[in-house]
Amino acid sequence: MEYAAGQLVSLGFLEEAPYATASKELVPAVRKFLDFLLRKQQLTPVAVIRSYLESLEQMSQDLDGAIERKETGNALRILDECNDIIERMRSDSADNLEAITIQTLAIKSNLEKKSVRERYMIINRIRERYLVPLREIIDIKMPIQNSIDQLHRLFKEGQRTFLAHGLLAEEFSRSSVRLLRLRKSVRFDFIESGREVEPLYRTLKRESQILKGASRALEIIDHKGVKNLDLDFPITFMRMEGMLSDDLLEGYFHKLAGYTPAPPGVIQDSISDDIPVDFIDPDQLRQKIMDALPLEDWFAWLLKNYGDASLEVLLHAYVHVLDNGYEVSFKDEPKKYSHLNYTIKSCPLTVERQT
Amino acid sequence: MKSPFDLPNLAVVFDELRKGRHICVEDGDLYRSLLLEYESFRELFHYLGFALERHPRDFFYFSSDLGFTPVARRMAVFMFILIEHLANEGRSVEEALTSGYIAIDTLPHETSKRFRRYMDEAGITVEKSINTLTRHGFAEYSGGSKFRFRSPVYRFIDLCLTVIRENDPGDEVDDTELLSALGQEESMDD
Repeated sequence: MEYAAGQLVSLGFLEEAPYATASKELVPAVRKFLDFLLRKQQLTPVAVIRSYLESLEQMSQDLDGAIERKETGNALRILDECNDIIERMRSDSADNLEAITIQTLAIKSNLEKKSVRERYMIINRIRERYLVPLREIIDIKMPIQNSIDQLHRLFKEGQRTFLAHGLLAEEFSRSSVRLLRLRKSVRFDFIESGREVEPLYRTLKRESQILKGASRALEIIDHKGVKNLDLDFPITFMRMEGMLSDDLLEGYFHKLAGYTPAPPGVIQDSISDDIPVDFIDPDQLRQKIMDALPLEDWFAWLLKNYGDASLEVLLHAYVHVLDNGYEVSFKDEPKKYSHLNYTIKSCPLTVERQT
Repeated sequence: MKSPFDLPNLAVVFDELRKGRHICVEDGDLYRSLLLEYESFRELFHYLGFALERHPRDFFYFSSDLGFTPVARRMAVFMFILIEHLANEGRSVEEALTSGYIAIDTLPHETSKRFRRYMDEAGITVEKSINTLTRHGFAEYSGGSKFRFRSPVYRFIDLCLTVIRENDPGDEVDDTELLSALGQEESMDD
């Protein structure tokens, strides 16, 4: 240990500490360098970037006055200060990108086994504290852009005003280019940072929501008991209660498959002879009429030939000659006909022939 | 004309679904039948009084209006404990649930006093829970000592998000796109 310390002292990295005899400390140059490296790993708060922008706004007012009054010395001093701030902003922005990249990689690899909740809190902090406010700064719709635009106009105006002072005009031109570069690089860094942070943020946000949901449900169980946990989680389970089991059903169907039905009973033909049929077949009637034409008294002929038929059947047959194209005519004198218990009065109908 | 009953594997598909099973790509022919003839199956089951659901993660199940049944409640308690444990261990819940096998003896359900209380109150054991999850197509055993979840496990992930939506409505996922508008400006600049 002492040997290593001696070596570092001899190489100029360490020196004796003024406050103690056996102590060493870093030489200022090395400390500054290490501070620089450390700063590169840390995020510059957006408040700092905002303060840069406010300074630039103030400087643009001062520069405006210096240009108006054509104060070369004053203009050059303000320009230097502007350049310094512009470069610091650019550097801090690039460092932020690097720090964000390192932190997101650490969250992704999670070597420290941090819980989902912890990792979500870290990424959410980066997003909310650095990226969301930074977006306001680079968004062209935000008012802060007016200040930068104003500064850019002043640089151009200064270039024209101090054209006769070659070096100063050139300095205005350089500042103008620096400002453009700042805009581009801050925008680039923001977009790159966003690309690192956003997917991880979304994943962890979802993971965190899932965890919260599970914890919330367990919390409900703590307070109200399992039976009072009522969630929208429909699952169907239809039990075949009261029905045959699959095995029984299968056996039943096997039995059905081997079933031979008994032959149907024989239909007895002889029965039909004894059944009285009260009906006049129209074809048979037409044939009989054709054989008997001409008929002097159609209804009398019907009574003679179908005397056993009921009155309804006889009347039904009576209209046959009216609907089937026979040449018919009624006699003037009505006549009475008797059939079963009925007496019918009608003018006799003569049937000549079929047309 | 094709009969509406002439659907591939209809009897088996119906038998599995009515038992509450979730059918996913790992179920081979049954899954393919449902995937190819989803509309016909859905319509037929609808007339029989069942609601066939197709999850965005491509698995099928029967929904119901029975509410939160005791079986569903028991499975959910088991899953809530597991999810909380995985997240607290620093593991990605979705990744842990959807990839790889889980050794049964590493489960936290009976190791912590709090978790054991939930299990006792729900009247479940680790073994019973995994059996129920397996029967419903959420999980699959590998030998006797390990098991893994199948894609239908996303229903429990959805359930956790539903719990948050219903109980803490202000705490939903922020959909603000940080880069979207800037991306357009960027292309305009170019």
